[in-house]
Order: sequence, then C-alpha cells, then structure tokens
Amino acid sequence: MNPFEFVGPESLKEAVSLLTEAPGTEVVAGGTDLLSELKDGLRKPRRLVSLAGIEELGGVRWGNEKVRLGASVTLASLVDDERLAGEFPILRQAARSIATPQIRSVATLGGNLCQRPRCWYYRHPAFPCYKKGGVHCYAVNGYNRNLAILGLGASVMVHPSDMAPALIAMDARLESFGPGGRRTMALDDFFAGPNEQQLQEHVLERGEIVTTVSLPKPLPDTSSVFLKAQDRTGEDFALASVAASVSVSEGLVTRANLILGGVAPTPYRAHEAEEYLVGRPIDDVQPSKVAELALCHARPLRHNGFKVILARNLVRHAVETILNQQS
Amino acid sequence: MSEATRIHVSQISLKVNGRVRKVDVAHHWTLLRALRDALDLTGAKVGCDRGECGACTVAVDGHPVYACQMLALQARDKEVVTVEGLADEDALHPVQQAFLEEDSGQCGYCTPGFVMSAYALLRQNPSPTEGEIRDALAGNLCRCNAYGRIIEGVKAAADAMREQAG
Amino acid sequence: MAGLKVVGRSLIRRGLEEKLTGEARYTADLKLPGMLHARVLPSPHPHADVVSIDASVAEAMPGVHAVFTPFDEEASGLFAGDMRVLDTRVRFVGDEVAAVAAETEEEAERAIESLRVEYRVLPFETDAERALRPEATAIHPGGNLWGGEPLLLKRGDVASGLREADIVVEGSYVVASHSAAPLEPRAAIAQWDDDQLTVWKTSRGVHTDRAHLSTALGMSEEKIRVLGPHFGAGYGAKDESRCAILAAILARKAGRPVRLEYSRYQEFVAGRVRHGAVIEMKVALKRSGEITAIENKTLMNTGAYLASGAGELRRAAQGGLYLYRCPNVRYEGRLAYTNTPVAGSYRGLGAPQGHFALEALIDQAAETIGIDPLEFRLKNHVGLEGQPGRRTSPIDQVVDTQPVEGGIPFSSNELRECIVRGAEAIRWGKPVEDAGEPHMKRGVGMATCIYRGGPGWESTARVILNRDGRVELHTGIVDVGQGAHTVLAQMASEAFGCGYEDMRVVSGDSDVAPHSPITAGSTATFSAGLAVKKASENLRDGLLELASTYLERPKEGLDVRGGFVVSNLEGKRLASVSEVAGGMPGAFIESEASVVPGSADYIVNSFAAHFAQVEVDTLTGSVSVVRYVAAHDSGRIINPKAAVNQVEGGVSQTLGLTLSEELVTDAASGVTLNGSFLEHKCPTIGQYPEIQTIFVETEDPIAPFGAKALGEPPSVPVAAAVINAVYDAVGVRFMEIPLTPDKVLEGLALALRQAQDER
Repeated sequence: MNPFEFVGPESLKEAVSLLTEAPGTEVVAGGTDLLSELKDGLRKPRRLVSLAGIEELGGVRWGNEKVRLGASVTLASLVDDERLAGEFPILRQAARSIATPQIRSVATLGGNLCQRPRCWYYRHPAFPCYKKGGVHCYAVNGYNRNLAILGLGASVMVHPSDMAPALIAMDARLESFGPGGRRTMALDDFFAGPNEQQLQEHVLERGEIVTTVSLPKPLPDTSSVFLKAQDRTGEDFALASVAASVSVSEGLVTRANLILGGVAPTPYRAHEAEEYLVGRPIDDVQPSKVAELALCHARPLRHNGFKVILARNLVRHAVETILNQQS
Repeated sequence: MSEATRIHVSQISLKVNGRVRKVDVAHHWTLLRALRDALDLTGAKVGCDRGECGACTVAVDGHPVYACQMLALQARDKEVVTVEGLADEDALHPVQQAFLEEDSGQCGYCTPGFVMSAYALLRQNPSPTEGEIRDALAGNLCRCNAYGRIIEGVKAAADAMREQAG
Repeated sequence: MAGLKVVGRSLIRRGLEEKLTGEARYTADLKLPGMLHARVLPSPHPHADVVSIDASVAEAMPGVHAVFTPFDEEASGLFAGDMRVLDTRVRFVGDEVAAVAAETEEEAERAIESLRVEYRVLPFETDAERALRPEATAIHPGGNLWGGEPLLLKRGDVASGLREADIVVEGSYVVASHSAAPLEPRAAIAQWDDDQLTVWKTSRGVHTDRAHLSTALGMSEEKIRVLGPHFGAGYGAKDESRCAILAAILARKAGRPVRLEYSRYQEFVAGRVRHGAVIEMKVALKRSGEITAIENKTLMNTGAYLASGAGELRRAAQGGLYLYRCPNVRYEGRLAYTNTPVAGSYRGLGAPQGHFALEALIDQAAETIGIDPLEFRLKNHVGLEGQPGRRTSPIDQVVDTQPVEGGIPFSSNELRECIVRGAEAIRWGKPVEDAGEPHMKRGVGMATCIYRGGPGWESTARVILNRDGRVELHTGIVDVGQGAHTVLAQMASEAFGCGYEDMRVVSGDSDVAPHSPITAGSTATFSAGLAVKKASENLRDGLLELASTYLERPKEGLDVRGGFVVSNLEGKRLASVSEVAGGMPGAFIESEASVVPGSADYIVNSFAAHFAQVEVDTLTGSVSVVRYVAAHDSGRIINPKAAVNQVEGGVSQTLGLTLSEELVTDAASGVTLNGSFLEHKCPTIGQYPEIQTIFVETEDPIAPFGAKALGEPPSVPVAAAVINAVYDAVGVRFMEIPLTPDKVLEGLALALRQAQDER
C-alpha cells in the first residue's frame, strides 16, 4: 500500500475544502472497500479525508413523514435497528445479506452506495481496464460469468450494491453536500453507467459527499421484498438481486417498484414490468409475465446466460411472495 | 523523499485488552499491523489482508472487526480486545475453555479469529440459536473446515457463560 | 486389544490451548533482531524468456540490502525436478522472476516496482488438451506430455471384458483446478551464522525441506537446520515452493536475517492447486449386474511444473482399478504441462477426481440395469479377498498400497459394513422429507472409496526417559493440524505405560528430531505410529531393566501402567516411573526405532461409504447439502473426537471442490483472475451440513494398535455422493464440478427443453 496522509475533519465544510484543495485526495468512510483498492494499487491517493468524525453524518432520525439515514450509519446498525426493520423490513433483508458481520460493523450506508465494481478484471492490477481509466473492457470477451446482462455500455460491470435496489424500491432520496452546497435527488438518479462516468459509478462532483438517504414512510397496503442469489451463503456479492415494492388500494396496484441488482452497471429499474403492474387488479397479476417483462431487454454475454434465467426466477418469486402477502 | 512516498506518522492512543497504549503508527498502517508489529500481539493473524478470511478478527468497541481492513487511525481512542486479552491469570475465557473441550480447531490459524467472533456474539446475544451462530461466524473461514466442532464449541461456551451468570 | 488406557480416548488435542490464547507462534509471527523483509517480483507473462533485468535503481535505494535475479550464480540450482531457484524462462503468470530484501516492507515493495525487466514473450497454453497438440509450444524440453507417453496400468483384458458385456455405460467428467488455500500463507525466515543456515518455515516435513534446501543451495545437509513452528495447514499443498530458498539466498547476500511471506494472492497463484482433470470412464456389465470391465482415460493439468503430478496421476487410477471386483481393468493417464499455476498435492491426491467419475458412472450403470445403486455396490464392491487374478509380484516383497495385480487379500476391509451402516443412518430407500417449498428439490446419493491405508516411507521415532521422570517423544512428523502429535503421543503413552499428559512431544527441529518423511499421504498414524510404538515398547523394556535392579525383583513379573511400575502377580503399584528413573546411573535412557512400514502378505487400505442428502433450489441453482453420513473403515480409532473432526473437516472442505471452488485463468492473458478468498469460493460455516460420522472399527493386524489412515479418505467420495444426490433430486446427471448455480440452471433449462422436444 502506498503511504498517504490521513486527516479527520469534524465538519462537512472542512471535509469538502480538504477534498477540493489538492489533487490526490480521496474520501474514506468505513474504508472496507477502499482499503482493498489501495492495497492492490488500483488507487494511490496522497491524502485520505475521513468522514468518521463528522457528527451530522451519523444516526437514524425519524420524522412524521420520513426517516433520514445518515451516510455514516453502519450496515450493522441497519440490521440491528428494530424500528427501522419494522417499518422497512426490506432494508434489514438487504443489509444482512451483505458481506460478513466484521464488514457490517464498519462499512457505511454511504460507502455501500459509492463502492466500486467487483469485476475480476477491474480488481486485478494487471488489467488497465476502462473503469480504471483505460480504454478496454477486458470482460466483454473475457470471463464474464458474473457480469452484466442489461445496460451494457463501455464496461460490462455490474453495480455491486445490495442496499441500492432495496432503497430505490422504497423511493429513497439522497442528499449530498459539496462545493456547490446541498442538493437532493432521487436515489435512482444518483447512479451513472459507464457511458456517463468512467472513474465512478455515481453523479457526485469532486468534493461532493453523500450526507443522508431519506425514505418516505410506506403507504398502507404496501408489500416489499428483497431477494438475492449468490454463489455461497455468507461473504458474497449478488449474482442477481431483486427488490420489489408494491402498494395496493381497493384491489388495484397503485405503485410498483421493481429494481434489479447485480445485472447491470447501475441498479436496474424494470420499467416494462412496473408499467404492467400499475393499474392492474392485484388478482390479475401473473408473476411469470412480470418476470418476462423485467428481463425483456436482457442481452447476455458468453458466460452469463444463466443470469437471465436466474433474474427471471427471482422476479417471479418476488412477485409471488408479494401476492401471498397481499392475499 | 518525494511527496508520494512520504510516510506520515502519528501517535495514537488505543485501549488494548484493558490497557491504554500510546502507539506511533504510520497513517497507512492497518490496525492489524499496529497490533502485530508495534505491540507484538500476534494472536490476530494475517490470512488475506483484504477482510475476506477473518483470521485477524478483533473486537473494537465490542463489535467484531477485521483488523486488516481498518486503519490504525480509524481505531484511535477506541477499545480493542484481541485474543490475548480474553483469558485471565488462572483461567481461560469460557469461549476458549469450551473450544478446548469440544476440539474446535485443527491447525489453529483461524482459531483466534473464531474465538473473537464468538466472544463478540455472546456479549450481544447470550443464547444464540444455531442459525445465529452460523450468521455470526460467516465472516471467518476455517480451511480445515472444523466448522462442526466450532459450532459445538460456541454452543458449549454459551451454556457455560449463562451458568456462570447464574 | 482389551485394557487400553490411552488409545481410543478423546483426549484434548495437543497445542490447542496455546492456539486458543494466541500464544502459538506461526512462522510469520516470528521476528529476529535485524530482520529484513523480502518481496518477490511475479512474472506478468504466462510464458517468456527473461532477457535482462536492470536492478540499478533498486540497488541504489537506501534500505535495500539484497537483490536476487535469475542471472545470479545461485539461481540455477534445480530443486523438485524441473524447477530452478530462479529461471530465465518463466512459465506462468506469477512465476517468480526476482526477489529483494529491504529494511521495511514498503522499501522492498518500491524496490520490486523499480526493477526493469526485458522479456521475450512466447506463445502459451492454458488448456491441457490444447497443450498436447503437436504444434503447441513446449513448456519444458521434453514437450508438454509428462514422461513422453501415457501412464498405462492394467489387469486382465479390457477388450474381452467389453465384448462379454451386455451393456457399456460411459461418461466424460470434468474437474476444475482449485486451490487448497491454507489460511496461513507460505512464509520463511532465514538466518546465517557463518556458513550455517537456520530456516524457520511453514513446513510439513523439516527433513524434506532440509533436503530441498541442500539441493537448491548446493550445500550439505549438516549445515542446514530447519525449524517448523506451528503450521497453518497445507492439506498437502505447502511444499516444493521457492519461498525458503529465496529467503536463504537473500539473507546470505544481505548478511542479515530475512523474512519472506507470501501475500494471499501469491499463495493462490504461486502456491499449489489441485489438478484439473478430464476423465473418460467406461463401465461394462452384464444384465445380472456383474462388472466385466472398467476403462479409465484421464488427462490431468499439472500446470507449469511437475511438483507431485506423477503421484497425482497414479492415485487418480486406483478407484477404477480396485474399488469394484473386476477381472479386466485398464487405466491410461496423461499429465500435461500448461502455462497455469502449478498443480501439486492436495488432500486425496487425484483420488477425489478419479472417484468422482467412477462413482457417478457406477450410479448410472446401476440405473441402466435397473438395480438400486446401494444394491449394486453391495453386489460388486471389492471384498477382503481382494481382486481376482494371480499375484505377479514376488511374494516376499512388500505389497504396494496401490496394487494393480489381483490375488492379494486386504489386511482388513470393512467396506460392506460401512455401506450397510451408512445406508441405515441416512435412511436409504425411505422417502426424503419434503423441503416445504415447491422449488426446493431434495434427493439422496451415495459413493464409496478405497484409499491407501497408511504405509508410507521409513519412519523413525525416539523416546526418552529423563532422570526426573519426564518422558519425551521425539518425532520429525509435523502436526499439520490434523492432530498427529496428539495421536502419536497417545500411542507412545500406551506403549510405554505412562499417562497422556506425561508424554511430551518434541518436534519441528531437523537437528533434534529423528529423520522423518513429510506428513503426507495419510501416513502419519500408520507409518510413524509403528516407529513410535516400537520405540516406546523398547523404552518400557529399558525401564523394566532399571526397575528390576531398583526393586530387586525379576523383570519378568513387572509391567509399566499409568506411570507406575506394577507387579503383574500382585497387581499393585511398586514404584512410580519417576522414582525408578531417579535411580538411573545416567541422565536419561532412550530408545530409537526405525520401521519400514508395510506387509508382504496383505494390502493395507482404508475404506469409506458416504451418503449425502441435498436440496436443490431450482430458482437460484444453488445446491446445499442438508445431511451427510460418512462411514469409515480406518481400523481402530486412536482419538475419536479428533477423528470425527478430521472426517467432518474433510467432507466440508471437499464440498468446495464439489460445489463452489475454481481457480480461473484468463485464456487471453494467462492471468489468474480470482486469487482471493472472496472470489475463490471456499465453503463457509453457512454451507456446513449436519454430518454424522460412523467408524466401523476393526483392529487391522498390520497397523499400530490396528489404526489405518484417516487423513485423506474423507475427501475422496464426497463429490460423487453429492452429484448422485442432485440427480436423485432433479433428474439431471451433472458431469462437471464444481456444480455452481450457472451449471445447475443451464442443466435444468436444457433438460426442460429436451423433455419438451420429446413431447
């Protein structure tokens, strides 16, 4: 690991000015992802700005209409928070599926949303791949079993976050603070594919920091579920995941979010499937039709055709689960 | 020395196994390196140095943490417990005693990490189910795959600790 | 053998307490004063000549004390056959090119980065079959087929066996390369004292390591001392690497002690992997169920160097040659060099691959003639009498533990009882409990195995009784984590007549320990055990001589039990061992015994029958093993608790080979892509099934206290048992392992399409 200077500001303002004042400065929250990149020499910052000392980034704050999750909240506290799990069971389902207890003790919500690709070519120092600033995506014609079946672009990476699909399914909004001040956006708009961004997977500008993720309290008669398939239980990223949240009023689907993880460079919203669902009597919903629509744009690579089957099965099972909850 | 290779060093204070320690650490040092190289606490092992095997597990403020995947500076002013801090003068910790009796280890390289994960679990949850034991130890690999004996060891430790607590 | 006091009891494992408190020191935990840190430059190319190395920048760096390249004189030494200390030809990505030693790890890293290497890049091969094409680039002078021709083994005449048959079933099976991935990466520390070299290393045999160092460095063994601290396991995979040799050369150049530790990625890539294999198997049978011929053509990928490839290729044959009673068997094994990480020993050494193919095909054979697979095995497994045919080897020659010829009986064989008791435990033939959800399918499968029973190399043990009453067992056998010291101490205590706690084990130092082979091939209990038992019995005899003088009684009426000299007649204690020892003239008495293990009359083999109940999630393609029964004939069990641990561990470890582990080489670049614990998916505690171990105990007449090998057999039948259970669950015969979710989902989809086409 290359040496660097570690600084721990106590305010957001201070952090932002440290991040913008000199090149080679990067932000660290829990550091569980970043440290691997530093050790493998994928990035060589001269200075790390830690967010751990900034109080306003911590904590879960409940309002009347919504709950605000600080970006520094650890994944372990998302698992352990009983009130949060009561209102948003899907968040606990997603959080507890991530990594291991030791990682969850340290890794933060903000860090989970900002983590880098897990593609083997990206992670290996031998390949100067597109997502590291190179020109090639080695995975397109390489070993691409774990990679994208949807939204292919200059890179066939998949976004590794499990929290993102779950949060987007619950209509999360993200708040950030940067040189231009505060802004908020739908979490759905936060992620950027390889054709928009090469060296990051989100739209933040230099020096801009994720501060909060807020969630509106769910409507009555809302059912949500998060499913994740992985190679082994424990310590694994998703081969595919699905987060679904459906609200029903007087027998009709009034709101449907269906987000897939692990299949595209950003969390993937299955628009056609959502359109099929909204306005339909819940009793008329056919899970296999939803599954088919959700994957209608899938274009598998040489080694990952199975992910189409897998993602379809997960969507179908998620919809069946929701129908059971609603009946 | 060029700016890129300059090594920044700070003195930090850590409470390790109940004792406050002042340690000079380079900013890029992991907590594991500080424990092993600066404090000669080699119970936590280097298995992967990427937070993927659990051999370096220690408790930081009571939570299980990969010491290899946390910077020493991130542990500043925190309370760290390593496997060396569990036994007292004349008795093993109940987790260690149970692991000894249940044969919960083979080559032993993963053993300190498993002991620490079990220790952190039983502090939080004195009566874990087998499912909860498996979830809590999912971040520790044992390549001898002595998992069956380890599960028995944690169960026996939980029983012993509950009995001790009365 | 009634009245055993120590053998057969679940005593506390030696060394476990210090492992639990963190006191146990492993190689990388040791520090010497003035110690430097080494780093190695890995080859970025799969096949290339190193034309030149400019090390001038590194050499000028403050803090750098030694740079070692293949152009140095010491680099040309061969060790382990076809591998040089450092070579000007690199043969896989990660092959070691050069090494440095510096004051700090950071300085060593920077020095490595500064080396300017000019390579002449050569064509390369990553696939074993392709590497054997005539036009493929030769990786070693003799070409890519090791030995220049296939290994042929046969009994009877397979062609006539095939002609006699009513039915021939065949299949082509694929096993991927995967890493043993011991949790402790390789490490070594070297220190010179004039021309005396001391090395601490992650060792499974201090004497074998000393021999390797002696060959590589061109110096006599007397000047080398190898110490093996606590050992973070290897499962066979931790020898034959350059680690200690590089540390020794750097230390000599620097004039300071040097520590070299492999990173996790290096351990994956420059360590040893299990041989990937393609196995084409034929079983010919009569409608009655009688097997008339078994043919096996195996191709194994040994990677860039041979390592233990020859043994691996041989052991892959044994299931097909010997597990089923059959007059006509033939094995054709080919071993190919490729530009991929080196394959070497790993638990079971070829047998897991061979048994996977054999036992999966035997299931299919049984189904083809409409016999239950359990019945079929009971009808056909090899019995105590051995294979049909006549013995061809000289009758006074020690019988090979892997014979090909027929006409030789086993010293003991409880395979039938293993099958019967295992079947009962898994409730074979009874309906499997429903998984509760329609997409979860359950099934049950079984497989059996035959394996070397432990006779290995000559082994020596020394037992010492000191005047203060302390008893010491000196052995060169390293406890690789399996509990060898526990088991040997139990045997020594039993044979000498003292308590288990009173027997101290001294090991891990080539200067002190009597010469011993590596801990390999499941030979520690049997081969070292014989030497330990003999030495301990002789020491007891020596003590009785002393006691006879001390007590002024005839030796004949005396015995040693539980740390006391007792009178056989009166059955009472006459004096403690320490009391008698206190009266001895010298400081100690000792007894050393060497034994060449084996038998001229019998084959000594271990056996097992495994049964798996699996659950296949047809939505995700994930296979989990729900319940598992492992029934073993390893003779008498010395320490039941440690033995259960060994079986459970072996089964669980091999679920990795079966379901999840594969080390993937990028075909375009030759780079190993997934050398990490995250991406090379070893089983976690989450995959651990409920395992029931059954020991069918028998007292083998050749073995020490009747105990046969147990280390590797648990890994041998696992893959087939699981794959056969998956067939029972979903009706698809999978022939490639690891059986990962992609293969399951694609296999199920294909089966569905085929079923639709048929309609």
